[in-house]
Amino acid sequence: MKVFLDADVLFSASYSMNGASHEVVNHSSVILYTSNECMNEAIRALKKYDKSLDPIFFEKIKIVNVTKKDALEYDIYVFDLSDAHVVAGAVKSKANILTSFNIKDFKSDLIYKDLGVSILKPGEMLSYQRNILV
Amino acid sequence: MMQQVQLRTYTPEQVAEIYQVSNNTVYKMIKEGRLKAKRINDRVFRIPQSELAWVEKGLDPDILEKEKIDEDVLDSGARDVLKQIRKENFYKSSK
Repeated sequence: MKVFLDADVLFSASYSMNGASHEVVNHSSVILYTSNECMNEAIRALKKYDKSLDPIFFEKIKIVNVTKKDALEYDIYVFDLSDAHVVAGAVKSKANILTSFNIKDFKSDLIYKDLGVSILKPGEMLSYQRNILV
Repeated sequence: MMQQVQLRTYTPEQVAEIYQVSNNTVYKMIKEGRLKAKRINDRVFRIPQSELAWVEKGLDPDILEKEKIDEDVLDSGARDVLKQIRKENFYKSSK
């Protein structure tokens, strides 16, 4: 099972040790991916709060490189073009699940139908792991 | 003055009915610590409403609590910060 993490999940996982995102990253039995873009966004946002990305994430999460050209191929799957790179990252990493807090930013039904990627919030991901993957 | 508490509790039998499992399953879950319950007397248990969060929200109570921790951080301004950075990066790479 491959799971792609959006920037807000990386951010939350580093910001709080007690949240659902942190558990997804640290106690996950799945293979975790993110993209250079999402990683960059999370690092910049954390910096604004005088925090940094947990160094262990670099060991636990594989990073795929997503270009602007890659992102533009997935413009039909988002409402705002600036979110397209997330879908591109999920496809490039061959993820089954995209984990994000902003599910409404993505055309979830179309993404599942065309690309076979389900979009779940971190809590739903934990629940899926606990109840389905055991 | 004492504040009025309106939280309710459930018997294992009521929880069994809600979850559509046997009474024994509920007692087993209590014994294994998978269901929080208060032992009132010998074999008399009461289960807090929070343990039924899954019925309403689709998530176990501990997961719900963890997700709330993240959502609170994001709602306190971080969501907007992340959005702004995403847009900045996108338009910067478009130039």
